[in-house]
Amino acid sequence: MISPIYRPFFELTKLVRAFADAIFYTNIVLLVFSYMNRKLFKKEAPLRLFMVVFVFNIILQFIVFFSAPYEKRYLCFFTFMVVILSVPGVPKLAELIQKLSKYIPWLTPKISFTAVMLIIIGISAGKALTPSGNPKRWFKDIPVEIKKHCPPGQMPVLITDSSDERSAYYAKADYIKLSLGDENIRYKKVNGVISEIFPLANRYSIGFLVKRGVNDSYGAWVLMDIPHGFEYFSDNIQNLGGDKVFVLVTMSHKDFSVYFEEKSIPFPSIKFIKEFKYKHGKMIFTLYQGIPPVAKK
Amino acid sequence: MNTAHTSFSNTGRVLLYLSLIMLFAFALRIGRCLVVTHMDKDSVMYIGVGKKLAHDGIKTAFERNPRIPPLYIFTIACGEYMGIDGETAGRAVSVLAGTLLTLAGFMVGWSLFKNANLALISAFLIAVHPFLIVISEDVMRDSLFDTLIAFSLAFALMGSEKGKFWQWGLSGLFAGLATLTRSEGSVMILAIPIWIIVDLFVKRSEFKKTLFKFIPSFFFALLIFCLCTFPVEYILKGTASKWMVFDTRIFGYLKSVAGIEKNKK
Repeated sequence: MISPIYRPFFELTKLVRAFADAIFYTNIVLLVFSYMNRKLFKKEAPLRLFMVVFVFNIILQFIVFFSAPYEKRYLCFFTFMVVILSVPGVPKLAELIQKLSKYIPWLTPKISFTAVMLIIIGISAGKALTPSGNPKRWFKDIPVEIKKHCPPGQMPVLITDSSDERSAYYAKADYIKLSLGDENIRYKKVNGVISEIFPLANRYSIGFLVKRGVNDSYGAWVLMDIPHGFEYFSDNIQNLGGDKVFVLVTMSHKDFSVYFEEKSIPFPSIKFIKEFKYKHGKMIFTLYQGIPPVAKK
Repeated sequence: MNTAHTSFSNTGRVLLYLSLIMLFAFALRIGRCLVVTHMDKDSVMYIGVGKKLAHDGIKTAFERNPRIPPLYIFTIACGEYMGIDGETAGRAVSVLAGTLLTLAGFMVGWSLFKNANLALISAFLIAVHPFLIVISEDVMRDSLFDTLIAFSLAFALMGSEKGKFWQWGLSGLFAGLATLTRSEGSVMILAIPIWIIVDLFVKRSEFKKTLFKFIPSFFFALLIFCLCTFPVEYILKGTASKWMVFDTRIFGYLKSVAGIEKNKK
């Protein structure tokens, strides 16, 4: 937990880090050399306009940073402008390398320039084309398992405690969020109409099924028009489609069972399919499938 | 390095190099698509809205995210409508926009350095920049936004020199299209009058000339910007969309900073 005194400093550090990551280290180096070679910028109207837009862009970044959740991708135009500012650094760097020709006779200006360009390609393109260190394989593995078990011709329904919809997207499934007390639920849907409710205290919302809000409830979770709580979990799965319903939890089967044991409720009638382990067992997902619907008399 | 203007005899060579850089940029972005295993968390929402727009029409398409600007969603919907999967369409738009960003970089470099070699280096650095490659692969609106606003800047820089109406018109058009992709696009239109004030101050001896040259140009850019954006806001009025040309978040923040509170019921 960060002390409130250090909070602004911590937030600012995050912003500076996002700036450095977006600009990228080769361009930070080139910016230094670019400053040494700044005479290449023509001090005319276009440069003044460029700098006005640049300053405007920085101000905008700060406004967005302090008014909404911030993401590095907001810096794309800022990065574009910084790259342009770092351009004079390339000939300057080539010029400095050229000074080594006193010791290396074959080092011509063309070779120096090519060397700089190759170094930039090597570092930058190398970084861009390196596969992510965190490939998040579960977004592909889990949907494969869902598709394998889903009755043919049926659209699966995925109930998961994760707010990340990608597993459902890749499985082409309808996404339902299983609240485990980590969401403030502000809306409910009754007879197809969404209305605001007094926000539920987290501890009351364990085992509730919610969907993403639309229109006025956009960005919030909306209680589905069904009975709620783990007591009704099996019935809800039956009503939602039985064996086309899959339950995915971001924990082991043992940990998931605890939720039911604590309330002295029998574990729901769902079929355990598989436990997925990633990151040396630090990341565990457990997948279940509902049982085929029971024919009503 | 030769800093002289490029002669017409060199134009072919410059265009050849620029084409090669663009081809290289395209190859790098395609390469990035091949090493990526999954898309961004928010991409699911973009594709969802795009699909709904293609299949259910505009009325309810934006109900999942009423604040989202429509242009990128529209491109996904077009792809979906033509039978291309929404994810593929979104990625294709990002890759193409990311590739064209090198052209915008060349134009901006040309305006700032008046030198073809430095303009080519600008295009090259943009082509290989890792962050710009990464955003050019994702099913996100950033790549398209970046390219549109960069073209708006490039034409504004060209216009700031020669003051030709068509250049300012194109700057306004691209700023408008950028705003239809992300609300920050309006930053260009807000920056131009500030630049005119700065320029009037710097070139005090040419006060009248600068004033009469650039004030009409700005209004022309503004007119094109408005013609490009406000009709879309009007069309979206009767739908689930609550998108506005000027971002309510930024104005809300500015209001709160200025101490202006909303009238409460």
